[in-house]
Amino acid sequence: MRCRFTLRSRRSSTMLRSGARHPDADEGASTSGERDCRTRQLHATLAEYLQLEHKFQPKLCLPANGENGEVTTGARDGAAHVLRCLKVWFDLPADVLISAINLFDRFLTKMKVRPCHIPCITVSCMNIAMDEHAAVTKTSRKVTVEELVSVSQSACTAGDVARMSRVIADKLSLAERCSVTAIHWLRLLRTLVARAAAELQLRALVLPESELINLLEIAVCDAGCVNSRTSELALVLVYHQLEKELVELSRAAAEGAGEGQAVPEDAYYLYEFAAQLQAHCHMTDASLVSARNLVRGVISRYEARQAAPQRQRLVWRLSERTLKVLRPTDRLTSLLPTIEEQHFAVDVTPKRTRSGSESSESEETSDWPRSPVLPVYCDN
Amino acid sequence: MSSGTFVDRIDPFAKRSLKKKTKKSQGSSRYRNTQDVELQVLPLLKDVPSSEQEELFIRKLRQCCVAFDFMDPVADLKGKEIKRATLNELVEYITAGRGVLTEPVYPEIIKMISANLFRTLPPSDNPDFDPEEDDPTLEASWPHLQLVYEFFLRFLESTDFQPTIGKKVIDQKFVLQLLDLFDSEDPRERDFLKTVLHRIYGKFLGLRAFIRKQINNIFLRFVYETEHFNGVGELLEILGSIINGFALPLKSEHKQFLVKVLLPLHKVKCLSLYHAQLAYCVVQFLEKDATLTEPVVRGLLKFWPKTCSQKEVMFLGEIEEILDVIEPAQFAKIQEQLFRQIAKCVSSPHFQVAERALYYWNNEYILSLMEENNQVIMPIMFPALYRMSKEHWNQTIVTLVYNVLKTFMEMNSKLFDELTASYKAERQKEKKREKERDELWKRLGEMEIGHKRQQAAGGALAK
Repeated sequence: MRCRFTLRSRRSSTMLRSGARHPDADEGASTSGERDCRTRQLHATLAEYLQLEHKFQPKLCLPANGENGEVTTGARDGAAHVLRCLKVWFDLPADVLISAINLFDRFLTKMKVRPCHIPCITVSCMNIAMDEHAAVTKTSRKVTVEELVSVSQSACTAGDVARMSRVIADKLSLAERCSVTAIHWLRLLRTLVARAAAELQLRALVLPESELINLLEIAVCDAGCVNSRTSELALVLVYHQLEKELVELSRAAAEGAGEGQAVPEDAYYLYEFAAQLQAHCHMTDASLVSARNLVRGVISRYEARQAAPQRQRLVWRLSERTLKVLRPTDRLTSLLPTIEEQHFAVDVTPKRTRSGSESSESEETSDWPRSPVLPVYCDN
Repeated sequence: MSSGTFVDRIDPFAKRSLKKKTKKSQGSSRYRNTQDVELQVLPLLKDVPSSEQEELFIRKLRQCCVAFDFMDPVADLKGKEIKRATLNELVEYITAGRGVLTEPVYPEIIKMISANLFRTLPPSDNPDFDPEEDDPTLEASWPHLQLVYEFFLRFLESTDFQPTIGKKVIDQKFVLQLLDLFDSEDPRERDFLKTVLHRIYGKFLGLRAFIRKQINNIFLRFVYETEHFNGVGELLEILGSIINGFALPLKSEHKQFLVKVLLPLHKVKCLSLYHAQLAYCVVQFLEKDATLTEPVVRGLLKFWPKTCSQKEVMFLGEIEEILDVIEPAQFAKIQEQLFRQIAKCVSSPHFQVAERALYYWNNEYILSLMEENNQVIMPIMFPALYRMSKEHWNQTIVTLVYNVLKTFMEMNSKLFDELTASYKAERQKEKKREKERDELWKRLGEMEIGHKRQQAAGGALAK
């Protein structure tokens, strides 16, 4: 029995308890009137996102191996990792990263590109994302195109990036407002679930945004998750985090630590809330389960601290002075022939038959100092 | 009266002191005077019947015992030429001839060699001789010396050479005098000495321990007393070939040598003169016995240069060579201390030091070791790298830091994210503390101003 998506449920009295405050409650929304207004805003945003979702949805069909000179899933993931590294390097907000990856995936959905152009396309997407972000936040860009190009080692010029950015913008018919990406969905759904949790008086559930965003970054860097509906991806991530927290809470309660409260039954109403969201967004069971499995796979690999399968070939440039002598033994031009211990030595002259008395070990007196105190002068 | 005190009359800028002193040809009692008997021209060895050759050989050898003064370029030209031709002939004679090395000849050969080679080396013409910068003072009597060395080498390498007879004349005293010559400033002489001593060590098992001990003494004196000896590189080359031939398991005395002599050799200021040979010896030891890795790396870290960047770069090169051959189990033992030092190097304001340290990440084998142990290494390296990404002045370094950070991200994203988050949290805390401190000072300043105003306003008001 699917009911129309609403925050009201059979247990309406508990959910609409007025005056109750939750740490996650929107700032200043102390009156139910303000809260209702905010709720309406969220609902409106949700409707808007649902309408726009398909416009920003990539649909990649990349091969696993590059036998036909095509861009592979590995190459796509490599590009995503480059973007992530640039995000860390320049201390950019996650929005820029998610947006850049989204642009990249959408461009590759529309155009068949050659592997050699991937570096330039990657940097151009970052470039566009940074411009978008600057426009939306009304701040100036921190990083120039030249800096982007030189740090990313993409072997193209700032001019190439500028041109490619125009091509991408053109092909994707980028509108004035920035794209609605997974991060927007994530924030929205998180807010909705957090508000639902607040109404259920579940103060212990935090759903920290930073952690969720981190997981999102990991998920979008994996080609497997690209074709999932953005809304489904976001919902799965929020509930993954939720489950994690519920497990933690019940474990703490079982051990008798913490506040000593068991997980309130009401917590499980959040799953009903999820079902309502699912229905409202027209997510099928099958696709949601599939998205959940993909995300679980990605996250388990991340938690297992596995190395990435692809490694970027980086340029290691050194100064002339250092290159001249990297290893000290590079300077050795020749070596003397080895003298075997306890044996008659062979030098450059041809071998001669050993005379027995020479190999006698007794002749060799080993008087290396044995004590830790070494005599400096040793009279013979 | 005299015009002022003695001290006033000393003029430090007198042209006198700048005039170059002309080298006075010093007569030496080593060299015979022209009044002595001239060298007799003897017949050629090939021209006499073989029964007479031994005797003639000995006479020629004795003739060559006479030394000539090459400091005076015009003295005794005829005698010098006779000796030179004789020496040349002798070299060819023992190279080509068979059966020429008879027993009586051995002591004569050694006498001739001793007479020519064994001398007190003159003090350096240039008291501030810097082996790295200045040209060495070459041996004046090289035209004869070279032939004597050549002869000596052919003698030792001859197929007729018999160590059983040789050991009677090549004894410890002889070897000791030979070793002293390694301090010669002339690199050509040292090169010959190196080969000669190598052959002697090879052929005379009875002298090996003695030679090793004497080399030990030379090195220790060099490291702890004089920091001067021109032949360290050559001696190390010989040791390299000896170490290469060590039997397993290594004797403890050899291990002592590594730790007590070879490692301290890294301390000396002029390390660059012999670092290649020294590093080779160290690596050879490790290839023989991997359990020596820990003491070696600890030793190098102990002697890590603190004020000389060029030496730091050398050390980093040597460490990379050691890592090239290290066993994974040994790596795990030294990784923490080593990477703490590497983190310092990466943070060095001297770009060459930072560069050389960062280049380790371009070494596939080292990278594989780091990957296996990334949970230990990444937390050590991360703060330095992250800081350098924002602070370093040199663009090449910044690019290399990016490479390393990217490599780490690919190695273990979760750890990377954790380290980034904790580093940022730390920075936030620091900034907060700084801000609080500034606020406190500001408040104190305001209190001070307020207090002064009160005092100025009137004594009654002031507390």
